[in-house]
Amino acid sequence: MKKHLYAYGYKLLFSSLKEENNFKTIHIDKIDKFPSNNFKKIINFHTNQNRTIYLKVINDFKTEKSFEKWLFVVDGVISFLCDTKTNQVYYQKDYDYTDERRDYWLIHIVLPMFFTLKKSYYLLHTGAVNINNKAVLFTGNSHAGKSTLTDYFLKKKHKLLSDDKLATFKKDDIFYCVPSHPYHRPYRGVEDLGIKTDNFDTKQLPIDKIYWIKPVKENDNILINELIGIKNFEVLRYSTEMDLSVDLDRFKYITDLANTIQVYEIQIPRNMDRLEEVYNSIIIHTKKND
Amino acid sequence: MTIDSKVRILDTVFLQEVDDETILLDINTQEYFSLNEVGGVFYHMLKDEASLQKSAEVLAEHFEVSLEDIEKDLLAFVKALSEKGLVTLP
Repeated sequence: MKKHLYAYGYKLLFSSLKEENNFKTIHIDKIDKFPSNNFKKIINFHTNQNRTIYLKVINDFKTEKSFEKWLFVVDGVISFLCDTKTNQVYYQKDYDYTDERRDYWLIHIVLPMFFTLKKSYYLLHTGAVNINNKAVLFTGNSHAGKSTLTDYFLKKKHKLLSDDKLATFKKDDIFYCVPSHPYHRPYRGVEDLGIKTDNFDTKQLPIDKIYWIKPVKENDNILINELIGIKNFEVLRYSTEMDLSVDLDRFKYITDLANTIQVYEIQIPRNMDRLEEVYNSIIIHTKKND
Repeated sequence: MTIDSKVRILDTVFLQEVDDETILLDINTQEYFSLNEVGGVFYHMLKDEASLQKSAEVLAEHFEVSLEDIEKDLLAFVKALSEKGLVTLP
């Protein structure tokens, strides 16, 4: 068994947070063959990166115990055996394995799922940047333009918090997020972490606002409207990590977040030449609604 | 179903408030629903009081409307909840 030294941005989760978050290190090691296990229940996820992915658990995924050990499989590439109690992750290679793919799946799925199931953080599928020392989040449907918008803010010298998955938590009635990984993807690549950036924040920030991106025609107006009630909840539910079902704790967290953080729908024209206009609209809006 | 029926809210259905709306989530099906302010009051009443008759009496007083009107609204509300699988009618 060879020790794998893991040194990506999620390391920041441990260095910037206090011990009350239960752990400081996750050990990630390669193993040639997993020990025998009794994972009988399979939870299939949506196809991701053209790969079949699924979770194997000991029993029904409804008791606290069943969250402790699980196996995440990327068919033909890699499997991760995770123990959220001991903070240990073993991975086993398959025929289509590469180190880059291991890192991609670890960063994008396994660690977010690990934190979610351990209930250390609540993961949101959003881009996020630092605006005036507060976190502003961009979420939306697939291909809505989260990465494009996040990337534009980076070009305008705002610090990156996350390009895709953002760890959040609540402390003293304030919702914070933790910078998640220092990569951004201004393009669509498959099983690709993207481009590493030095313009990455390294401290936890309070969450200020969440913008739900609604793409509109290229010449339409840029409009920003606050979402309330079920619409607010739906945005946050949609932005919930992975295909994991919402249990009572997560339900409470989402609704608490919905009641605390302002969520807006922003209509963004599908026109790259108008990104500066979109950028200015968001900057003005964040200041005006401070 | 009549006003004498008893209603049971499923153990798998949870509620939380967001703004002025009540959000119901069925943990089993992962379906969620929104109730407006009045629906929220009705639902809370059903949670606290299993008897529709008793619920109707309290609600009639709360909304200051006739018992007859509130019974009609309450039965329609429970029927809608039942159709969505959120309550059972023994």
